[in-house]
Amino acid sequence: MTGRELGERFLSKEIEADRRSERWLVLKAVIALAVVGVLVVVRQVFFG
Amino acid sequence: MTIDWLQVGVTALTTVLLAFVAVGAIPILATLYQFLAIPFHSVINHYRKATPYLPRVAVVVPAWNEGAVIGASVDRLMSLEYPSDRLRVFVVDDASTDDTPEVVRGKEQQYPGRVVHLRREKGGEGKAHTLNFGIGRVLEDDWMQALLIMDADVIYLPDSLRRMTRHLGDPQVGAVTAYIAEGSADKNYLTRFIGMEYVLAQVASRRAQNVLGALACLAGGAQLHSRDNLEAIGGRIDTSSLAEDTITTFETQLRGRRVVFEPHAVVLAEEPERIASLWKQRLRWARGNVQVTSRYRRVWFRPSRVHKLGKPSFGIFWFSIFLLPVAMILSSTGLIGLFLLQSELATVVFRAMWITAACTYVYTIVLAVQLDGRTGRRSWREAILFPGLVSIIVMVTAFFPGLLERRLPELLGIPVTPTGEAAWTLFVYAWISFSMLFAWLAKVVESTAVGRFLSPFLIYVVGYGPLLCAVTVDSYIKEWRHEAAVWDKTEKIGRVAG
Repeated sequence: MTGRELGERFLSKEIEADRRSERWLVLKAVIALAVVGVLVVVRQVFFG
Repeated sequence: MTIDWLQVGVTALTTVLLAFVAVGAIPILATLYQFLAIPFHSVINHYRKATPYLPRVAVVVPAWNEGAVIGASVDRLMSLEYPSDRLRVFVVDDASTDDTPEVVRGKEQQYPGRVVHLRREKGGEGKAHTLNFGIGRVLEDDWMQALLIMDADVIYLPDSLRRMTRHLGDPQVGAVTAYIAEGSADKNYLTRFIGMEYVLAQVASRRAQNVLGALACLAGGAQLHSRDNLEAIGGRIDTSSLAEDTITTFETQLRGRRVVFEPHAVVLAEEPERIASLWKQRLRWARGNVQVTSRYRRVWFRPSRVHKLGKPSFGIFWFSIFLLPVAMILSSTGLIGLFLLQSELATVVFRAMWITAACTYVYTIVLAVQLDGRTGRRSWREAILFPGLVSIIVMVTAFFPGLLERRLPELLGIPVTPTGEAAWTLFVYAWISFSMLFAWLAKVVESTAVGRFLSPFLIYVVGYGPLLCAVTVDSYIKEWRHEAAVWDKTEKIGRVAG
């Protein structure tokens, strides 16, 4: 692959796409915390 | 007024035992803290400072008897999505006795000017010496703007190099590392555990380290250095320890340059499929970490304006791993001691600690399997059983009090006696220490007739984490005895699926 094919615009877009994809981390962490939350609720209801 | 010395003694002993349990809780809290930092990578990352940057990259590949894999590795490098006039590969043949020289010379002819075969006649001194031979050659002229250090058997995904170089567009960044994913085509239980470990230790933890500003280690098979950084750290790799990549990482940061982990640059690696090979590899890493801990004793917990390695949080992370077996033994000792002194306090402390451990475990595993969905789907059993079946039972005991020690036996019609309950409690408190012993047994039985079945069974029951802790204990012993630190290469036979 040549430098021309990997143009500045393409590379900038790729950086921006990867930067944006990191935003999903928040949702993924929320899902993980929600699973913990469910377990805590079960504990409080049935074993509290 | 008379002093009740017995009471004073009991109080003092209780305080010491509580401190033991508290020390045992530090690694759990450190892990939780680190994983809670991961979502902040959505805003605290290096992408805003990354730029379209494609420097002239020299790739140095150390190769000792890599005839089975080196040809394919070179072909893969040549087909990277990277300008062909800005990529040169230097294979340092470390006095190989197989067909490595012939294979590499064939690639030299196939890719003239882009592949260089360098031969060391005096070999077997270790990876760092081999790398330095190649680095010395690369630094002889000014063509190289960035140096990529890799292993002969790893496979870079086509877009991985350019995803790494973009961070070097920022002069503050000295080095970049990628995500080394377990890439064996013929996966077994152990390579699946390793795959999950790499998700936890790299895709997850290194994102947190990006957020906190200090990285513990550039992956040995994927480290990209700017020329400036390479020259600043002396133009060579440290040869005095077994952890040359960690030392390079520290030296880079101690000089005020950043080290960045790029999670979207993926490199596939072949990892051990037997405990004996894994033990050998990890013992080398663990002994290297003992050497690093000692060498940088003036860095830990000493905040600096130049680097962030002295931040208390980084020190706690480092020592949480380095001293994890000690923490595990202290927590068991504390809980058993409290149980013998006054069992009610032991119950309260046990629940607090293991409920925290259970929440941390669930949060980290659920987050990790989402971070690398492919590995998560392939290794979901190993993800769930990462701490081992018994530790999960211990967590359930703490999290759902009465379920396993009373409700379940009642349901099954098993009578519960006070002696039986006390024995169960002692087992639960002691397990975390004994898990390392059983993990070591999994290694011992592996070479026996029943090892093929018993070793995987033991690892699923005891846990993969305790296996790594057992290796760490072995590293303490070997360093304490000053046993010869031999650079044992892990055998690679080209099982990576590209």
